Amino acid sequence: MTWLTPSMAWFGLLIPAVLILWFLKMKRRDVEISSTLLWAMVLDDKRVNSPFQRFRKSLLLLLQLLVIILATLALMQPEKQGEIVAGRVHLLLLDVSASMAVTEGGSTRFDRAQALAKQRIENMGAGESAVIIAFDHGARAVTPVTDDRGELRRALEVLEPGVSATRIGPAIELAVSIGERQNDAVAVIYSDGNFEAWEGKLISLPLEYEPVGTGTENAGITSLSARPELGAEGGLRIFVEVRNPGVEPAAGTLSLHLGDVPVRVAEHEGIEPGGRWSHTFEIKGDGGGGGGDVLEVLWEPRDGDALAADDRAWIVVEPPSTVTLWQVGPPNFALDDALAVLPHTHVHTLTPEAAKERLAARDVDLPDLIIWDRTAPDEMPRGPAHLFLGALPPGVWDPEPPLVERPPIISWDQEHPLNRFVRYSYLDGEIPEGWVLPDLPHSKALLDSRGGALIRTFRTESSEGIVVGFDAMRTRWPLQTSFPFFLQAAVAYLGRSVETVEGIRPGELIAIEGGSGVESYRVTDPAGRTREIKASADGWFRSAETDQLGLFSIAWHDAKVVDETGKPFEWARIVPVSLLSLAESSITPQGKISIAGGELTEASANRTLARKVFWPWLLALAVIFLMGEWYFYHRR
Amino acid sequence: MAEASPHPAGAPSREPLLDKEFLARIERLSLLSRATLTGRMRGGRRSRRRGFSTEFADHRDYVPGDDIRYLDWNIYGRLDRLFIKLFEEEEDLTVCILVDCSRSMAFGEPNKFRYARQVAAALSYIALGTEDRVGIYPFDRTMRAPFPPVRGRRNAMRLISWLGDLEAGAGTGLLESLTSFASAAPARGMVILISDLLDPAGYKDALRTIAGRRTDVHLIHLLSPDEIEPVVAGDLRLVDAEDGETIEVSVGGRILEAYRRTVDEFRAGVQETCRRFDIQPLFTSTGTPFDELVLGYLRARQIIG
Repeated sequence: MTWLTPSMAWFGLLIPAVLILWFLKMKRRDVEISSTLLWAMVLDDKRVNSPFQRFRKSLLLLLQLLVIILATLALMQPEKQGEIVAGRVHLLLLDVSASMAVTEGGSTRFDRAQALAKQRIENMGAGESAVIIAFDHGARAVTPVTDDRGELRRALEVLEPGVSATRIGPAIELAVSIGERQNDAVAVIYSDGNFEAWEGKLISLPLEYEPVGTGTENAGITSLSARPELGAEGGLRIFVEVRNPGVEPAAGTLSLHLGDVPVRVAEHEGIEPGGRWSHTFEIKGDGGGGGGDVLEVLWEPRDGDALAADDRAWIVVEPPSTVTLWQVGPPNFALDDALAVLPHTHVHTLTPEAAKERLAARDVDLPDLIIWDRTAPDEMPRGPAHLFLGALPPGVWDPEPPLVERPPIISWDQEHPLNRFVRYSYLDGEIPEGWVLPDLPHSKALLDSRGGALIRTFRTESSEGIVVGFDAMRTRWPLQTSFPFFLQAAVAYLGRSVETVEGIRPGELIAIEGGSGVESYRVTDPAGRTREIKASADGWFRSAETDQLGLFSIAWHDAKVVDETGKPFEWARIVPVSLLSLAESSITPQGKISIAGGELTEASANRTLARKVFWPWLLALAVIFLMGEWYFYHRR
Repeated sequence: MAEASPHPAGAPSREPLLDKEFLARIERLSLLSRATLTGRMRGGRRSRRRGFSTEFADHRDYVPGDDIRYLDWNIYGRLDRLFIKLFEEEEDLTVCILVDCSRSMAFGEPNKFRYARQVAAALSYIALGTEDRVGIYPFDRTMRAPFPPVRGRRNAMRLISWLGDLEAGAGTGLLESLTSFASAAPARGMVILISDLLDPAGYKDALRTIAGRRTDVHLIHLLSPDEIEPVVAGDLRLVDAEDGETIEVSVGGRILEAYRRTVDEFRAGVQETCRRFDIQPLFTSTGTPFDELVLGYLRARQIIG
């Protein structure tokens, strides 16, 4: 405690002055008595005759003295050199991702983050304000910028960690957008630091980092996918990856459940620290691969671990439907062979002319997908999806994209389902020439070269499809196993014959195109709560309220589509939500984090001492006592 | 402690001190002295002096000049010696009632001064009924003009009326007053002092002056309920009714407790002084009904019977 103006202590001399005035002003009531003899004997006793004895009964004097003491203290401006603050507006970014639920020493990491944030709020000085931003896969401000500590505390209390992975980017962007409107703002990140480095633009907002957490041991499922077996027998191959980011070996059992029944079990005696265990479950005609089946993979660490959210993952096997496709182009044995092994696919091989005739006919049944092999229609037919191999769709790019010779391959989108089992590295420098496909709305690059995308999805008002902007037959790609995998994925993707739904991660968007006649969707979340959600104007279902692990069930019907009895046809889809995040499974708290190219360490280095002033409180108390004195005076 | 007397200080009340009914109740009572006392006239009680009443007391040798009517001829016949028969002389008792008329006695509810005069009147009435001589000696700073000793119940009403007309005066001068009384009072008899003893100069020397003689001395120490258990609170300036002296005091529970303790100590001091000087004390309060004091306490203490 320090005093800004200790010289104001002279005002304390008012105390004896008040005492003197009190003695002088004390009004006594005259009472005539028979004799003062006995009273004189009483007052011989010093105790009862002492001035302090009189004080005891004078509430007014006591209140007056308190007023003077408090006013004097207020004038002396006591201050406390307290906690840190670097600014007047505190942007408190609290990590509510899954790893913050890790329990250490009886409390969770989030409890610790909450306590630190609360301490910061308590130490805010006069004129300072704060805003609380919760972030996991996204970010949201749970309070406005306010100096109301009660509101901030209440908002903190109701927060709790979820099941999502962490992305710091949205949190930083939100903090910057709020901080830009404030003078002297500072952002504080309360997190275990387990998120990918954010490489956004340089920001001027001062950042502090308060790391929380101590534990390191956890292993969890970080990848789950399934692929139908090629060939007539069918069946499924389920690929599971368990990662151990801890510092001790992790042993445990991995089991595959169909519904509630375990159908496959595998055991690992010890995944090395930092290592992974990739395991494949194969199911052939013994119940797996059927329509609408839910497969659950469960990781049971032998010695337990800190995070339960990454110990389960789900995948759904949707009923396969036969895709009808036209293969249009010159003879292509490699393409023929690749398409021949695809299950549930009905292929019609057509010459470009035959295809043109069919498309011109009015009563022809259009296919689900047309593969344009080194040829293209004059006009994009409405209805089917399109896969262009070494050809460009008409009217999509204007002008025509440039041709580039031997484009060097830079990267490909490994997360995209079309690329799930595909490698393009051997195409580097192997493509004689290819179109560099410019970006479009609703388009995604699948394979990038130095000059631009070589493979890209596209979507226009009337059609959608994939363009492979080079002639694959002039490369070694058809000889690689990834070629049929790409075709299989493309056919499934464009022909909507997705056999497995590998699901999404918490917080990601579920989007379902139910049809233009759909009015609403009935959603049942993993906790079993069902609610009706109105369809968008174009009949789509879109929801990012996927912050629970497990299975979301979405059901709908299209009034325009009726069965033979005239009743609307019912559809349903199950969307699994699994954590599947190495960053979240890596619970080792990070002492430093990387934001916009700079590194942040524990906030202590950036701390400045705060001034916590007390004079307003003292003055307020003095006024209260003054009012009390006034009240008692008039009551008397 | 009354803040004001029901009557103007010292003003006599128009109400008679004793009503007829009470007088009837004390008609047959008499004062009881601890000793047989000497009076001036033959009265209604035995005296130690041998005299010539009808009650034979003793014999003594005849000496020339003795009344030969009292020679005991029977003894002369048997012993051939002359003896004079002595008889117990029935003498009257002189009762001196000292009434404190200081201004401090004019306080209290009931009023101490009226109460003191009522007691004096009642005792006088009883004494006069047994042919004792009764004198009233009022005093404040000094002795005032007394009601000289009289005998016989025929004087009772005059004495009571005189008491009724007494007024409280100025301050208390216990020592001066009682010294003055002692110098002029009869050597023998009964002395009854009715006072609050609230004299700043003290009471011990004063009591000494009326004790130590061949007298039966009684003290009726009279305080009002307000003086024993004051009902005051707050910041007060207490004004002494007698001399105008003031005391400032902030009265609260602790001070009242100390005051009660002081009253107890004061009474204990009076009792101790009385014990030393062979004075019979009676502590009473005007809160005790007057008739109860006379017919109860005084009889219980064998002052009357």
